Amino acid sequence: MKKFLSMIAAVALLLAHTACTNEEEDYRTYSVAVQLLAPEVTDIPIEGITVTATGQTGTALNAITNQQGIAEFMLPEDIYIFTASHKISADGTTYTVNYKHQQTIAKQDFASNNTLNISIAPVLSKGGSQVILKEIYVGGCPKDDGSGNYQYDKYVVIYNNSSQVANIRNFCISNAGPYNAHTSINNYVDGQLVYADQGYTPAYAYMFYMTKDLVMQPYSSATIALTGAIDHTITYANSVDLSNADYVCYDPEDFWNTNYHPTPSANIPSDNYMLASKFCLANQNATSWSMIGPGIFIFSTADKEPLAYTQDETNRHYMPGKENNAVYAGAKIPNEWILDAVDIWGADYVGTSLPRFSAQLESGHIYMTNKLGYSIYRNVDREATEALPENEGKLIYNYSLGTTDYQGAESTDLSGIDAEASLANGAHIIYMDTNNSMNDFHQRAVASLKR
Amino acid sequence: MNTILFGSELSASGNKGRGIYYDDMRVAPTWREYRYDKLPFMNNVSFFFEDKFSMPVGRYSSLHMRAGVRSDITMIKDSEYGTMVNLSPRINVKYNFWTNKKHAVSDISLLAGWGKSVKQPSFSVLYPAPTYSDKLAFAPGTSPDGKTIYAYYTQPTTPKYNPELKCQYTLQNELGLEATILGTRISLTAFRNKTFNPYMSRNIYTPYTYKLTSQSDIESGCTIPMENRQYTIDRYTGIVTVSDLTGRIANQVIGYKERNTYVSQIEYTNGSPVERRGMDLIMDFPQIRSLRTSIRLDGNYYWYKGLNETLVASMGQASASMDGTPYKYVGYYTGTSTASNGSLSRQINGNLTISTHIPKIRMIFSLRLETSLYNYEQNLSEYADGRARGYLLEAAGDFHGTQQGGIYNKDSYVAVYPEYYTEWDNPEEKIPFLDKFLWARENDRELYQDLCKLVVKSNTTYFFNENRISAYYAANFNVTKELGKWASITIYARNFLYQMGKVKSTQTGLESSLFDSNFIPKFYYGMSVRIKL
Repeated sequence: MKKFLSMIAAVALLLAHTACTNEEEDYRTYSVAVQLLAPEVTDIPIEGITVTATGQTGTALNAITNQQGIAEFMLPEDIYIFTASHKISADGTTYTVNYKHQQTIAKQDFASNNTLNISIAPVLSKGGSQVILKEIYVGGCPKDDGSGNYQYDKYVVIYNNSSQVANIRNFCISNAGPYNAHTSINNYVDGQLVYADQGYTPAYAYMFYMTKDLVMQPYSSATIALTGAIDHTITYANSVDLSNADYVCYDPEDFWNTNYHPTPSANIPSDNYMLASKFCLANQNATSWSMIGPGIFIFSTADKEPLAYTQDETNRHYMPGKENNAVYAGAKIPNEWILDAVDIWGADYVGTSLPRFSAQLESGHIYMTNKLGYSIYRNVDREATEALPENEGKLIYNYSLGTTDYQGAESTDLSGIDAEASLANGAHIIYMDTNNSMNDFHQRAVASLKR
Repeated sequence: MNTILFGSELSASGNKGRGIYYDDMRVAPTWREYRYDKLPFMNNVSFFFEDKFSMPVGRYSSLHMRAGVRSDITMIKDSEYGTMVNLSPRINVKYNFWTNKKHAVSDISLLAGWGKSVKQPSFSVLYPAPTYSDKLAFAPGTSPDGKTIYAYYTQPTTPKYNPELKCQYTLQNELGLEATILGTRISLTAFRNKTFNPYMSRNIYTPYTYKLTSQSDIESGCTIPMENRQYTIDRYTGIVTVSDLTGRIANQVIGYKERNTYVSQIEYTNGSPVERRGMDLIMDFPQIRSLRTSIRLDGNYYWYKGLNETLVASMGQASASMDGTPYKYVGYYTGTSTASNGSLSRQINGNLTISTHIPKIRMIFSLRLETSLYNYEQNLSEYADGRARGYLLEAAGDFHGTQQGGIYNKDSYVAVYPEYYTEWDNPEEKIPFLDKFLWARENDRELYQDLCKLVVKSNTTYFFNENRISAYYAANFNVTKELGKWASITIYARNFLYQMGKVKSTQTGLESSLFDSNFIPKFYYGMSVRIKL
């Protein structure tokens, strides 16, 4: 009997052990060491930099680099995008250093509890831009009667993120293709963005250009209505008043759909209309700024005339396999012309979304939940902002307009500074500009123009 | 024996419905009513005559002939095309050499046929609906209370009447052999159908000018305060006048910009002939009695070629000229304003059907194997005399290439130029495109950029590669159970082998799965019940 009981106990132990092993297999994590390689322009150690590992499900884990520039993670199986960003100065020039690498973490690569070593090369871009995208509101808002959502009220706010007056010739705005980051017909061949190393980014379908110089005072904002520069709150209380926008994308000879493009408010001088250069189908009667996940960028063609440059057929880009098809046409914009770029991914389409900018311009992306009146708003560079002596006593803290984005993750400005309230209080805000929207932006619960 | 049949048919078709309408016109400001119940009926009268006779020829042979003619007369009240009348004759002859002989070849006969079938234009050609071109002519800024007005320069157009429009017709020729050899029933038929004057539509671009009064014109020409303005626009001249509601300021005529553009109008015309040839073979083998199984082998060969050389006009996808004004050039292309103006295809398909009938259990088992043995397609870009229509490019962004060595199977992009183009201010002068394009490249950069917009290219490098799809098959299975005299139940499975194989395309060099493809039916199964009354 004793022997029998011993056998039962042994079997029970064996079963318990087996169950435990299975459970461990299900939740097993793997050791990954991410080494950030130093840029050639400096020998400053890459220490204390936060590396973020973002999985396909949107889960983000952080680790700090040690003296050797290595950040260590314990990660479950998934496909991760590792990103990091910081600024360095060398020979009087400030650089933004971005790191980006996609890696699959799979069980078969870890046969004997080894560590997977990943090295990521830096991508340098000079300084931050003087004029940046501060806010993007494209997702629409709920209609008053709850019958759906309203989406003709899209706008962006640009901002002079410096202490000098900005004077920009031939200022333009456009979107990268495809309209939505998750669209299956895109600019990828064999998993590679076809223009990533070509030195240009296609302005997709159309772009709008100013007919006069853009002049912005230090730390000032300007609103550009992408659609409908009217007071939308007359019709939908949840919407925004764009009747006092500074600029409006309006060219009824190219885009004549009056739902998207009603005549702008008479408050807006007609020389503040940004005109269209159109390379999509001639009968497309409205712009298609995505309300799900646009890739928006601003640029200056400097001494080139914007219409002539973008209408030049030798500057045309078509999505792979879609040559000569105007539905997929874009104009090649040299990357050095681009002032700022933001890649927005729809929160419902994260798994199928792909980056639309080269890492030099945008090494991350930001998630957006649409139809709820949210906007994508830039985070404050707390250290730089607090360092401005004129801000003494003007900064307002306890920012509370953050939201939850993809899969309930918190999306807020970790600086804690309420930028809009501080600006209204006379403060000068310096915003984050690391060319990585994961660091630079958050999803704001209420569009800043919503009063 | 001679049988004569003649008669006539009379039919009228129309629509007494209201057509599309909106309850809330605010959501469809540019919609125009088009009431179907106000349209005339399409009336058709047909007369037909057929003579069928058979006569013995010698001891064993016989001749059978069926000949007929049909006339269709179509009338629509107020149609510019008036009454359409046509004749469709046909004749079929069958010569039986012998039947039911106790030879290896027990039956044999030859068949031949010829016919001409005419297709009348559709109602939308004979009685076209109007379309409307609306150009925004005036749009002042939206007032603080959200109100604005829009004025449009509107032009209604209907497809242009084409007195040269001919009826589409097909000449059908057929030659066949039917025989029973060693109990196997064989039918072999070859056909050649050529369609002449196929209907097609093309655009006609007519230049016009309209006046555009924008907010900038109001800002520069109106001193009346916004809240006191009343706008009027002359419906013929398009000139905007602002009145002062308080009467203190005299009327002010607002300036404008003249915009030169085109209105597009459809014209129905006839395309170049297309030809189809083919051959059908059916072999019914005698039943294998011991297995109660019969076998049928059938297959076909199909050939098609279409090459359109009708001249068509296009403005491409350009919306603006390089100077920012509406695009002012129209290109005229051979066949189509796309890279390809035709195609060639060839197919060989074969099917094997095995049916077993077991009377004792009153069941029939049937297996059918469907195969594609040869499947060839080729996009064409050429003239009827074989000259290439396109130019081979080295890179996608090029606009100039070569015709040496042809354009097919080169894995390169191909550009096609219009034959000539016209300008807005002189639409009658047809300028040879290529000469001017080459000249402009060196001498007039702006014109060159504008003309680049009329160059059409293939979407891919493989577009003009021949496309051979490797052979593939699918199998279907039926089981039928007879239930008494009056009913039967069939359980069937299509593509029951759940074909997961791959086919290779020589056009792209890629393999693709047959699963969920258009090549074979999707796997599905079901049951049907048949009741005989």
